[in-house]
Amino acid sequence: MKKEKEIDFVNLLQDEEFIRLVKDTLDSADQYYILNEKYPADKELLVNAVEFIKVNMLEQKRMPENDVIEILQNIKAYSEAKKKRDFRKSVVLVFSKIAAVLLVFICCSFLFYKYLRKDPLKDFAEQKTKVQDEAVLILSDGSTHKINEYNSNIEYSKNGGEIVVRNKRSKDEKFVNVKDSKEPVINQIIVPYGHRHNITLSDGTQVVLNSGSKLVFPAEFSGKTRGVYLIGEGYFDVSRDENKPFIVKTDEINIKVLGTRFNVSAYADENVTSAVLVEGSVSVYHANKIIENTPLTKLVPGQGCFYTSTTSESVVRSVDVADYISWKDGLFRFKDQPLVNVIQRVCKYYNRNISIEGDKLPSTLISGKLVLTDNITSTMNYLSKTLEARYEVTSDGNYIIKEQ
Amino acid sequence: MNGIDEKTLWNNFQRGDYDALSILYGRYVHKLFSYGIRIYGDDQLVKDCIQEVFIHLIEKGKKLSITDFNSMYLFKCLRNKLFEELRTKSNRSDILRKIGSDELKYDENIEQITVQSEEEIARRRILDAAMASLSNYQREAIFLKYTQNFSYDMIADILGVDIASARTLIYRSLKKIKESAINHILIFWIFHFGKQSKV
Repeated sequence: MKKEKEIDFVNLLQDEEFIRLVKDTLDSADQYYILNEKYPADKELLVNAVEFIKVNMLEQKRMPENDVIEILQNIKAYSEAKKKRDFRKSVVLVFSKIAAVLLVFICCSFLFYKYLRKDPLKDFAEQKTKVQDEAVLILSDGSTHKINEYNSNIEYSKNGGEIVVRNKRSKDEKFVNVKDSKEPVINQIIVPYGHRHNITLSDGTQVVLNSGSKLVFPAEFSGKTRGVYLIGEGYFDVSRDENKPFIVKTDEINIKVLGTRFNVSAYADENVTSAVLVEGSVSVYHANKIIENTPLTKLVPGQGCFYTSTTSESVVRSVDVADYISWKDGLFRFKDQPLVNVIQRVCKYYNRNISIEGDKLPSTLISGKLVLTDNITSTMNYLSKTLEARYEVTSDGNYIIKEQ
Repeated sequence: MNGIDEKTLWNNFQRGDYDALSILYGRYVHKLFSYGIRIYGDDQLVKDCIQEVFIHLIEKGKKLSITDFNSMYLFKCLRNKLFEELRTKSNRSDILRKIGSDELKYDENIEQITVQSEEEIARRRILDAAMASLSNYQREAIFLKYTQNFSYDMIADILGVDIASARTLIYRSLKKIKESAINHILIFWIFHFGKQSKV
């Protein structure tokens, strides 16, 4: 006990020791004397406290035995039902787990098929990505053939087996594609900066490849479609075949046509991929879309589709087609274009850095034609003459245009 | 299996051994029944609620967060179940009947024990009357403390109050019993002498 407080009914019954002692001595005839020894209190008080404990102990009732059994049976019946339900649930769970795993597997396989399995053309293109100084033709057997001139015609025979390279200043060359299996024979043409080449594919389609471009194509179009893969810029004059649509694939968009003339620009170092239609009609699709049925847009002649890869947005607008295709005839055609834009095109064509110095010079408007030669020096001479400016070549091969 | 301690039984039950729960039922059915009728006098409702408590345990099974079994948990469940039932039923006549039946319950005690002396009968009557003066809540607390021997922290847990409140509750209840017993002693003696004078 805390203080030597007076023993009373309340604090006796709050004393656990007292309660235990009462319970231990319930059957003892000397209960009162035992308690009194430890708790020297009035007899009436002790007896009342004992009585209180006894009364409360009697509050412990028993549920009638048949009710106890009835509830027990109900509990057991419920347990059995629950066990059965759990078993069924676990069976369903196991099955749904298996189903989920299968579903995930199927989805993964599908996505793998769709995305990870690369287009054989694209795959081929990535094997040799470097654009070299000389134009090369890579045949199915991996053999590389240099094309000596900077502007030649490469013609494929109807079955794609034979290739003739028609040079302007030297003898024609002939190559043969080795067809060793059922696999489609895939060829590749890499056009370096400052070059431009014409290719006639086995279906009669003519492609002009611009400077710094690469075209991957099957020597013979054996499938349901005629697919080619382009990095860089090309002008296509597709021979008509209603049953075999021609598809130009790029990293960002695919252009599907039946027979028409159009220009595609898909340089890897530029954000914008464009398709400009000269004649006929083309459908532009998103590359790498699971559902490829819905075209991004359909173009009518004189329209261009400009797809920005960074924002995944495409814009369709009317353009002056000649601005986009004049390069195929060996010249750039400009109409009221600031010099910076002109220089940008020239830079791309020759793959050189050209900077402009001066305040007014960059915004000077240029109109007219710029003939593209294989020699940047002649182009620079021509440009500076027109601009009444001069240019310098730095030690690392960069050009600077300055006011006179 | 009957010698197994309750924590082991509980763990076995949570692993899906429903026989373990039956054993726990056997051990607690009478205590729970006593508690139930202390809160609410209707035997049938208490029995139903006890069954509900165990069915609830089976239904929840592994999902129950109690890993460390304490018998107090069963009392708490029964209490919640009873109050839930009373709330939904909210039958006034039931509640009135319950209140009326309480005093009878204390009177019945007299028959259950062998009483030796008239003095003892008188003492028991006074005590019963004093107990009857408590509120239901106070009687519930007294029941948990002196009939079920729960500690203060367990009582606090069952009643959903803090330990200090549980202690105060018991203290006030004891004090009230003491005070009303004194009053009843006076009444008893008046009544006693009155009876004697008639003889």
